[in-house]
Amino acid sequence: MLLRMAWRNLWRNRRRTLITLVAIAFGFLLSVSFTVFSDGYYGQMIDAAARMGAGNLTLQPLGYQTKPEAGKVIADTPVLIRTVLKTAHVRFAAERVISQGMAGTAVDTTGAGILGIDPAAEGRRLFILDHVVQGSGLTSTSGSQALVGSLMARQLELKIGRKFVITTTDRHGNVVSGLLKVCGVFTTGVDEVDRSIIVAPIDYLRALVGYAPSEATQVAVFLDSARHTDAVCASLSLAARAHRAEALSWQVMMPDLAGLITLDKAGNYFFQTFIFLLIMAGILDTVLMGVMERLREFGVMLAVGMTPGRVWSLIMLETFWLGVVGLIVGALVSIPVYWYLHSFGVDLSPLMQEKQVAGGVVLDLFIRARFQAGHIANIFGGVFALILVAGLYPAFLAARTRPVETMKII
Amino acid sequence: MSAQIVCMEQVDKIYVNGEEKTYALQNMNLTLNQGEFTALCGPSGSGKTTALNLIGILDSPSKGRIVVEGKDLGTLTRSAQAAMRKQRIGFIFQAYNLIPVLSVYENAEFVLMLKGVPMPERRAKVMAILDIVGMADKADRRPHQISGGQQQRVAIARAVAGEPALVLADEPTANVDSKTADGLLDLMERLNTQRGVTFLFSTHDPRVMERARRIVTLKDGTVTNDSVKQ
Repeated sequence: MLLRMAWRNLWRNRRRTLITLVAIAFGFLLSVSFTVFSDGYYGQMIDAAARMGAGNLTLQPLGYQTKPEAGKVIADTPVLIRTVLKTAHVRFAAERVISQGMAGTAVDTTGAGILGIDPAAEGRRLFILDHVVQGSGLTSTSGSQALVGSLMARQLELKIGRKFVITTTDRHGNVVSGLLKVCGVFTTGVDEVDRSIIVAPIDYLRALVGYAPSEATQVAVFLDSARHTDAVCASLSLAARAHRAEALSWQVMMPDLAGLITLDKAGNYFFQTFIFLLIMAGILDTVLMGVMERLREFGVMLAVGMTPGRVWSLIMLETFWLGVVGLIVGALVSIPVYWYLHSFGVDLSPLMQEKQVAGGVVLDLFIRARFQAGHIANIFGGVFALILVAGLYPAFLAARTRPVETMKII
Repeated sequence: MSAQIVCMEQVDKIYVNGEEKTYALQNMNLTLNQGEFTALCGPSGSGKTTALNLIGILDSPSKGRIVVEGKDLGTLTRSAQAAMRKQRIGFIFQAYNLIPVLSVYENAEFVLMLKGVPMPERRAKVMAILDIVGMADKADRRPHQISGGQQQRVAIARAVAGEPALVLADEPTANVDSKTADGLLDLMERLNTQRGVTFLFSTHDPRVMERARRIVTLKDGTVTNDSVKQ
């Protein structure tokens, strides 16, 4: 009966209840929209970061992250990749050889990071391969062709077909040099990348630094969703150990980006908490007004034997209904908004003058909302809990009613 | 001899406003026995409502002792007071005070629900009492859909549905016309004689005084007359 009474009480002042429901629904909608939009934005950033080179997670030789040395390699990479590809949520894995050195022409020299890849296996997953602005991509794993960044090309006055020298150290620490011919120039928009990265065929680089055909510096692992990164990282750590390697998430590989996202999320949480508190204040007002108007009624209930605890429960049940209906309305309103943001996305590029780069990643300004059940469940739970908290004080007041004071009559 | 239901011994109720003290009741003594149909009379401000509030455990005395069904009210905790009201005392208010979101049936059922009476038994009891008060055919109506007299009938049904030892009625006929008042008094009289429910009214209404078998008169918070009709 209490549940029924609470439901009916909710509709005694329809206008007030409807206004409160609109406030809850609007707050929920705002929070959900912001969250799915942010999740889409972060997801795109992480995907972009993965495509910049290192994948959603990376398998590297033990200690390479803190002290990169050419002598540190992963052995039997084909075996390791087969294991990786059998792991749940893994979509793709690619071996790479990485070397640090110098690039030089008759004009100038510059520091360079040389990335050895298998172009056929990579397809266009690697961000650089998708941003070749002159010439063409790599065509084999063993030739002496190379892609260079546009800023490096300008500095070294490199053009398609021109040759340049790379100097690096082999696995034993000896200085070695090789001659590469420019087959393409890429522009990613990230100056650091465009100024210092050279992409070369993996077997060419292996041969240069003295690696065996089954050895590599890195296995980049791409997942079907970045949210599985930690779980896959954990499940691959044992397999990696067998190859004297370790599994590192994108957060470890790209700490700047991870920090940026963490900071942005903290701002979002603050903003959403503020929205939730506003909702809570509105609900407190509604429930409190409802209670103050009905003190006489509570007096009657208490007079005929209702315990203060049950009066408290009645108000909490009213608040419960308010939360349930408010969240249902909020969800119904949020679904089409999410659908629109997911299907059509939002293009922020007209608002930005230049290409945006953050944490070493070029930001895609066309953002599509992404649904993450855990985040939406958190909003549901958070809003609902706050609504219930808002009911505590009015419920306490109602339970404390003294019949003799409120009724002024027996 | 009937069992004693209420015993008030040297009860004072003092309201303090700053340094000013007002005696609503002063050295009041009263006993009520089971099955009595008693009217508490007196002019406004004589302490009738205060006396009912104290007996109904809605307020506490400043001095003295009140015993209801052998229990000293001064020793009861808040939850024990609520339990006592729920189990043993019924209330009828001048302004009916039905719960607006509940139907006639649900209002009558309310106390039984609080008492934890099982559903089938509850239904039988509620329909029986609504039949007695003549509201069975309007069981689904809400309070605002029935007249004042009908609302008071429902209030009476609510008060007696839980089979209390004592029903306290504050000016139960004050807000209804004389014909309705007669009907309500007939009803309460019938409940008193047929079911043995003890009634204590506070009233100005000569019709109530006429029907009451015992009249206790209060003046300035003190019992000035206590007469039993033969």
